Order: sequence, then structure tokens, then C-alpha cells
Amino acid sequence: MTLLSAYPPPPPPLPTPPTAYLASTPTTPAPDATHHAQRGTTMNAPATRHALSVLVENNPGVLARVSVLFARRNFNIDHLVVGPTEDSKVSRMTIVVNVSAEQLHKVTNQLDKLVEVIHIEELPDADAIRTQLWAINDNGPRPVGAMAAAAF
Amino acid sequence: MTATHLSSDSLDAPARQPAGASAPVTRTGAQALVGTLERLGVEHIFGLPGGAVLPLYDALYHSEQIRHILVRHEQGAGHAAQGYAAASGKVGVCLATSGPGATNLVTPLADANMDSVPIVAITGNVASTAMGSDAFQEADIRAISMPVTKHSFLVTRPDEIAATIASAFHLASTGRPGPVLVDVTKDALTAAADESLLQLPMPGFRPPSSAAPEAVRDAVELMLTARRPVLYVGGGCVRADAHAELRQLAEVTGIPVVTTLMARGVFPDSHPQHMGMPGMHGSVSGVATLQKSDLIVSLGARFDDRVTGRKDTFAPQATIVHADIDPAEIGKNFPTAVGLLGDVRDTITQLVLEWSRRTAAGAAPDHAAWIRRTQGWKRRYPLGYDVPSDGAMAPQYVIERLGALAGPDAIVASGVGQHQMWASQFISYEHPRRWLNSGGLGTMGYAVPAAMGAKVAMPGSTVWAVDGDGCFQMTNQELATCAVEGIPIKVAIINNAALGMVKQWQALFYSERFSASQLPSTQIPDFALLAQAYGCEGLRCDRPEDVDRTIEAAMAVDDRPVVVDFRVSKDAMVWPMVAAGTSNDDIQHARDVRPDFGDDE
Ligand SMILES: Cc1cc2nc3c(=O)[nH]c(=O)nc-3n(C[C@H](O)[C@H](O)[C@H](O)COP(=O)(O)OP(=O)(O)OC[C@H]3O[C@@H](n4cnc5c(N)ncnc54)[C@H](O)[C@@H]3O)c2cc1C
Ligand SMILES: Cc1ncc(C[n+]2csc(CCOP(=O)(O)OP(=O)(O)O)c2C)c(N)n1
Repeated sequence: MTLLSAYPPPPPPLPTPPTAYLASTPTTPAPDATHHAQRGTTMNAPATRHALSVLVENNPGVLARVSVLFARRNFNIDHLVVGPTEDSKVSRMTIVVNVSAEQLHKVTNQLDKLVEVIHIEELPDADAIRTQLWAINDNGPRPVGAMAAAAF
Repeated sequence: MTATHLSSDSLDAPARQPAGASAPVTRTGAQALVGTLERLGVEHIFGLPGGAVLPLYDALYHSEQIRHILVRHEQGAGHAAQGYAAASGKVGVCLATSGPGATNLVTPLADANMDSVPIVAITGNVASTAMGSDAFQEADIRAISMPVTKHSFLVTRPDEIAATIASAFHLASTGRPGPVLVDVTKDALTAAADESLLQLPMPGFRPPSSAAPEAVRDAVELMLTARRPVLYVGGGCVRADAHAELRQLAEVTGIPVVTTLMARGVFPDSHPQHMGMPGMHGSVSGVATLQKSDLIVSLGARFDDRVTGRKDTFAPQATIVHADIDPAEIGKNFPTAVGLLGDVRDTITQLVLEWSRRTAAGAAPDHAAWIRRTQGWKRRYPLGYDVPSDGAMAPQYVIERLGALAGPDAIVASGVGQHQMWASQFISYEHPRRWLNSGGLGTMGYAVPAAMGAKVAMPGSTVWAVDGDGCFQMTNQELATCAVEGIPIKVAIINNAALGMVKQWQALFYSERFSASQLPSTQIPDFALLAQAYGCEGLRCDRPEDVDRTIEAAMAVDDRPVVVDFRVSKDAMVWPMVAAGTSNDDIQHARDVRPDFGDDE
């Protein structure tokens, strides 16, 4: 699913607002009684797993900038992989998070504002991606007892 | 040429000078930086030197176009750049050295980020070879500033200085305005610079779009069919210079208007459709018009919690149309029926056109009952204040007289606290860019340096800082800058010998336990003497009958800054008030007095 503007960007035409907010699309919350009930209660929708693919400029500091945005909203990142792409000036981040769709939408809106973030896309099948990342990451020392030992 | 109006050919990214153009003599990175500022039309910089920026100061020494104003504290440089930008619409520029110089800029950067003020901060850093070694006066200001700027650059290569500075100005002033930091290492400043790169590519920076025609149609449809619409006008209309278009929209539609603290002046206070300010200390009519509406047309406003009160009780019947240049604002706090993404001036023009087309074709809105009702609130619940029974001077009276005597063309920069609210309530603002304050971050100490910056930008205007005795003591050293550099601002200290806003909350919510909120400001310091020590005129006023005379005396001085110590009642409170975390429905007109909004239709 494409969350934000298309990539690579189509030639000149101007970007349009995120479709979720166009009145004519079915995803728009209809101005009826039910949407008033949700006002100001955005934090308690159920969390689900999401995987984002983010193309960024390959600059020092860009990882800090991206992760600070998640931290600011108090989101934990489950998995994070950063690597090069076929263009040496562009890196790709794959980020797996466990948040509600609405929270994810808000954080990607903020991510999209970062000058060094070129494109964001949500990847299908976050669970499969997570399984693969888990396998890659599941090497090295075991944490067994580490927290308990530190408590004494 | 002004700093914001970059010629469009210099903005094509990434641009290189054509080969064979008259080969310029190679300059150092510092000279390239100053040359770029000149090319961008910069005329004023507020700053303070140090080791890491000495090469830059050496290059500035030779600049005839740029006047550098030496501040006494870098925070002052940052707020001065903000005041400069807010008053003129140009990009404000501040400059500091590495380490402590740079960290002193963090507060103004965060302030500018919250209030969408276009400024560029330039800092020096240690040589790139020493970075990360805890070198003398090293601070990672690029990282420190990440969450409080629109963007922050670190430049270690001299060849990228010119392009980065130009890109920083472009970022600061394009789309939602904001602060951009450029940190340049000392070795980049001293090395020879190739200046052929004029702009960074920035593939991730999307220029603002304009509102989709179908969204404009949907918005106007809602405006036509609503029974109780309101135009909720915010600081974005000021930044977009949309006052004329806004007035036209209000007048063709007849819809009542409320202006946020950041938008005061963009719609004339004297206009009959103006219902006042919404929010915690807004007018009863401003709060009620927003709260009871069935359609909120938000124009460059961001549904701040000071305005909405308890979010789940905010304007329960209202559908929201939201016009903003920042896509992340639309739907951020409330579900939005129609988003109008783009520059609000352009959006309003489109709304006016579509409204006119529809009404010419026979559409007839029915807002008459609502307008009568809002006008009733405005008549019944005007802003007011009690005259202190002990003969002390009412702070509201001082501010009201100051507004009346200074007139609608004066620029007022305010601190943060009770005096800020009174300055917003009791001075009538008729024009945009005459009211400067720190709304989002609420930074005490903003007033004096911001007034200084505004006066530099608008030397022909009278500039008053309305400050609290607490706030004034945070940044008053810039009076020395004003005196030495010939920047004749005027400062009215509303001296209630207290951190008044804190004291008010303690009076209302902590049973009058005034923990750490009282100040000895009638003895220490002596503000009039302090002003004189700074080379300013220092005046004092403690009787209501002297207020006009004192203000006139202050207005008569124009060869140096003036400070007036107005010693006012210690007990005055700001009303109306929607207590934090409560509903707008529970607004108190005065202490324990709740207005009657009448029945809903
Ligand atoms: C002690 C204290 C008390 C306060 N009490 C109140 C109160 O009672 N009432 C009140 O209103 N505020 C109050 N405030 C201020 C409050 O905290 C917010 O700063 C303020 O409400 C925000 O104003 P705004 O919604 O106009 O948004 P701003 O902060 O001015 O934001 C501007 C919006 O416009 C957008 N924008 C910018 N440029 C453009 C453009 N060219 N085109 C389109 N959109 C653009 C931006 O993206 C942003 O969303 C108080 C502050 C303090 C310190
Ligand atoms: C830098 C900073 N520190 C603390 C605060 C919290 N604060 C908000 S208003 C206020 C009191 C301001 O006192 P004063 O300048 O005397 O103004 P008054 O409210 O009395 O008009 C304080 C301490 C703040 N806004 N900014």
C-alpha cells in the first residue's frame, strides 16, 4: 500500500493531499455522531504490526533524525534495518513497529516532512518481514538473566 | 531585494554556474558564506563571535551590505531574528559560535519551530578533524537541534557552504515557515571554496501544492449548508499575508471570525464580525462561537490545546474544514471532513471564488439566527476588569491606555504570562504583524530581544515591548545592545512583583500557597535605575492618574530606548478563563461567574 506520494515522483503535476482526508473518498470519517465520540482519544486504538520501507538521503545523522521522531511519540521500534540501495546517495530503512494504524499514519506524516526522507511505503505482510528480521538478528549473546543480574 | 524573495533562477536545484561565466577569484568558505548571504539579500544579522566563527567575522568585517548587530546573549540574537522575521516577513538571521554559543540558541530555535517563524541560525563548529574528540567548545548542535528545527545541516566541506546556506533560506521560507540551522566547521570556513554548486538537491523536500478544486467545492458546500459556521483564523494567515483575502472571505460570507493568539491583527479587532480570541483566556464570544458552531473552517490554525480545552468536549457538533500548508496538521488533532492543503492565501482566494459562483447561481445560506446569537454573546459579555479597591493601578488599565496612545500602527512584542494575555485582550489590533509573541513555546524573555529585532526590520515604526517583571529579567541585557546600536525600542514593564501567571494558578488551584512565585521587584532590581545604567531612559509610574503622562513622556523619547516601570496591583487575574483540562463549556467570565450561552437551536 502506498501511504504517501508516489515514487519515483510522476513528472510535474502537483502532489495532492493524503487521500485519507479528501472528503470524497470512503476512508474519510463521515461527519456523523460516531466520529465525535473518538475526539481526543487517539491513543487507544488496537496496535498491529506494520513494516515501513523508507528511502532516505545517505547522510550522516539521518538515522538519528528518523528514530528521534518515533521516540518523541514514545513508540518502540521492534526492528530496524538500514542498508544501501543501487543509488549510492540513497539508503533504505526497513522499520517494523507495533502501533495502531492511526498512530502510524500520524508518524509517517511527520516522517514525510523530514527533508532527508525521500519516500515512505508500507510493505505488505509485516509479519513475514518480522520473522525474517528476527532470524537475522537472533544471533550473539543471550540476554538470559542480564536484567535480573543488573537489579542487584 | 529582500531576503525571502530569492530570484527564481537561483532556486533551480541543483544549479551550477554555467561554465565559462566570469571565473570568480577563489574565496574562502567564510567569504563564500558571506557572499551567499549578500546574494540572498540579507541586510541584518544578530550574533556574537567566538573562536570557531572568527573566520566568518573576519569576512563580515568587509561586508558593506550586511549590518551585524552584536547582542549580549545568543538567546537575544535568536529572538531578535524572530522579531525581525515576524514583523517584516523576511527571513531573520542569527549567528553564534560553537559549543555554548550554539546551545544558547536552542530556546529561540524551539520557539521559532513552534510558532512557524522563518529564521536561519548559523553556528561555527570545531574543525572536522577534531569532531567527536570532546574538543574545546564542541557541541553536536546539529543533533541537539534536530527535534526543534525544520532542518539542521552540518557542513564540513567548503564547497557545500554556499549551496547549504541558500538551501537553508529556501527551507526556512518555503511551505510552513520555520527555523533552519547551518553548523559549519572551522576548517570549512578557512579552506578555499568552490562556489559553483548553488543549491542542494533535497529530493525529499516537497514544495507546497495548492488545494484541490473538488476539496474547495466540498468546503464551500459545507459552508453554504451549515447553520452555525465559524472562521477559525490562525497564525498561518499572518505568515501567508492573507489579511486582505481573509477579510474578503469574511465579508462575502458574513460568517463570524475568531482569531487565535498567534493571529491577532490579521482580521481587524474593530470589525463587527470579529468575535475575539478563542481559548483559555479568550473572550466569551470567541470561545462560545467556536464551541457552539456546527462547522469550523480552520484557516492556518492548528487546534492547540489552549484553544480546544478538553479535546473530547470540544465543539461537539462541529464538522471541520481544515486549510493548512502542512499535510501533517490536517487531521492531527481532530477528524477532518475536508482538507485544503496549500498556502492559505491562495486557498482563501479559491474559497471566495467558489462561494461567489455558488451564490450567484442561487445558493442561499441561512446563517442569520446564528449571527444574531453570536452578536448577542459579544454584546452581553464584553472584556472587562475590576478596578482594584485598594487604589492600586490595574495592569489592564495601563495596557489599555498604552494601546490607545500608541495607536494601531505601533508594533507590540510581549513576554509570557498575565501581561501577555492582557496585551492581547486590551490592545486593539487592526493590522497584521503588529502583535509579536511567543505562543506555542511560551518563552519568558522573548519580548525585549524580539522588539529589538522588529525595530531593526521596521525602523519607521514605534515598537513597544510589553513585559512582565519576571520575563524582563531573563533577557534585558539586550537593552545595552539597543542603546549602543541605536535601536530605540520602548519597554513597559507590568510590574506586579510576582511571576503573576504562576501566582494566579496557585491562587485558583493550590489554595493560595504561593510557592516560589513572588518577586521583590519593587525593591530589587530598581528597573528605572537599571535602564539608566544601560544608557536608556528609565521612568516609573505607580498612580493611575500618571499613566497617560508617563506613556506620552516615553513616546517623546526617540533617540534612545525607554523603559517604564509600571507598578501595578499584585492581585489582578486574567479573565475569562477556561481552566486547563476542562471543557470550553465551563468558561468563567470572571471568577466563579459562568456565562449563559442560551439554548441550542
Ligand atoms: C500563557 C499562554 C496562554 C495562551 N492562551 C491562549 C488562548 O487563550 N487562546 C489562543 O488562541 N492561544 C493561546 N495561547 C497560544 C497557544 O499556545 C498556541 O500558540 C496558539 O493557539 C496557536 O495558534 P494557531 O492555531 O494560530 O497556530 P500557529 O502556531 O500560528 O500555527 C500556524 C499554522 O498555520 C500553518 N501555516 C503556516 N504558514 C501557512 C501558510 N502560508 N498557509 C497555510 N497554512 C500555514 C502552519 O502549518 C500551522 O499549522 C497561549 C499561550 C500562552 C503562552
Ligand atoms: C523560560 C520560562 N520559564 C518558566 C515559564 C513558566 N511561566 C509562565 S508565565 C510565568 C510568569 C511570568 O511572570 P512575569 O514575567 O512577571 O509576568 P506576569 O505573569 O506577572 O504578567 C512563568 C514563570 C515560562 N513560560 N518560560
